[in-house]
Amino acid sequence: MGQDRLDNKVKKVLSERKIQPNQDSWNKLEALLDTKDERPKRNYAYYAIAASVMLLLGMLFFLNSNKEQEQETQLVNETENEIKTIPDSGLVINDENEETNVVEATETVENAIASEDKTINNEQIDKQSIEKKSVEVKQNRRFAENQKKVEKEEVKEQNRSNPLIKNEVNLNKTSLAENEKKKQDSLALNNEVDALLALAQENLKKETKTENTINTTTTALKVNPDALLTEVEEEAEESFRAKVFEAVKKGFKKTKTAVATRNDN
Amino acid sequence: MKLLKVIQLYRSEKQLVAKALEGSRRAQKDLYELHAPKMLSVCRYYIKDIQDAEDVMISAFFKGFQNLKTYQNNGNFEGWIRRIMVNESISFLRKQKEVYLTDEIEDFQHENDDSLNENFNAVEIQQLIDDLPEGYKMVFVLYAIEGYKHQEIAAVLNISENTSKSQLFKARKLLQQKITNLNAVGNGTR
Repeated sequence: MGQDRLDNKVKKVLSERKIQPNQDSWNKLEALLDTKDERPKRNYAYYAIAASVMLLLGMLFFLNSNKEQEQETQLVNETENEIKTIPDSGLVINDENEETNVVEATETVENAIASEDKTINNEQIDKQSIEKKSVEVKQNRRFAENQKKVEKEEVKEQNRSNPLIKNEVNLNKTSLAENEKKKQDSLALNNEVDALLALAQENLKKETKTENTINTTTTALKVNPDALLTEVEEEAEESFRAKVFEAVKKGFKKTKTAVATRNDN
Repeated sequence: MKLLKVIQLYRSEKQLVAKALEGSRRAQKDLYELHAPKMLSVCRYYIKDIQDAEDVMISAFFKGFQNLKTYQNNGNFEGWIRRIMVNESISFLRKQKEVYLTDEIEDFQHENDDSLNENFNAVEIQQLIDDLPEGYKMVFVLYAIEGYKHQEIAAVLNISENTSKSQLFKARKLLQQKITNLNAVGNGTR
């Protein structure tokens, strides 16, 4: 038998052969297919859900942060105005807060000018009224002193008219004079102290009044007291928020530069 | 009934493949039932143990269904899945034991011994093939039954073409001896 004939015969005999596999062979294959089919589908679904949830949260956070930022910028505008209206407050306006819209800025500047005028007027009125009050107080004190002097003079005259008791009176007089002198000294001191105290109090009042007038002027312009209160509360939180956003900005810039210069090395 | 059904399905094998590609378990099952007996026979050429052969066949079908999109109706499905069976069987044999394919250069000369006239059935020849050394067996089956060229065999088994030729030569020689013995024993007993 030749080589090719042997090959052909073997091929012919064997190629006609069929071997029936076990009945559960398909089940084995199906089990294999099932496990492979389900795994990736489940994984993909899980990853898809996770990714979408993350995306949603990210979007929400982003939108919220944007809103907060807008609010903050508005607040900053208002606070800027307030700061501007205080003439000798000595506060420095932050450069960061100057990133505001030009339109908003012009509007607020106009408002600020208006409120400034009003506050200046109020301050002037306050000062005038305070001066008046201090003058009145001084006048009253002088009046009281004059009255006392008049009484003393009357007592002297009475003493002169009664010579019998002159000695006693003289004694009393000297003591009285001493007492009066002392009293006068103490009164003068008291008056000075009172005047100084009054001045200090007035200065304090002035400061508080100017602050109040700022608030009252702003409320008179457009804001209600509740809004002002909430603004003040938010201002307290603002510094923290500003820090957070600053940190985020820095991080973003860092990564940006890192990505940009990744091929430079 | 089942046979009729299978015949009906065979006519629309392309449709079946298309459905199987979509993930239809029913179409996959029909394709499996249509080709499994022949494919098990193919795996059996290489693998002596029928259970191992069946496991290899299942594994090959699984790989086939997983990579069905690479088929794309080029040629017939049987030829495509059969190649997967052959590759899977060979990798199974390689995993089972280290197959040494020695690169022996010998003087291959066709022995034209036409005087021999052996007869054998499928079971007998399969037994003879089973008894061949793994290297001889793989090259012989690939060449004689699958119709691979030496170049292809060399690529599949990662050997040189000369090795493939020498292995085939030795396999044939051994087989012929065995067939002769078989017939001699058969004639002697009759």
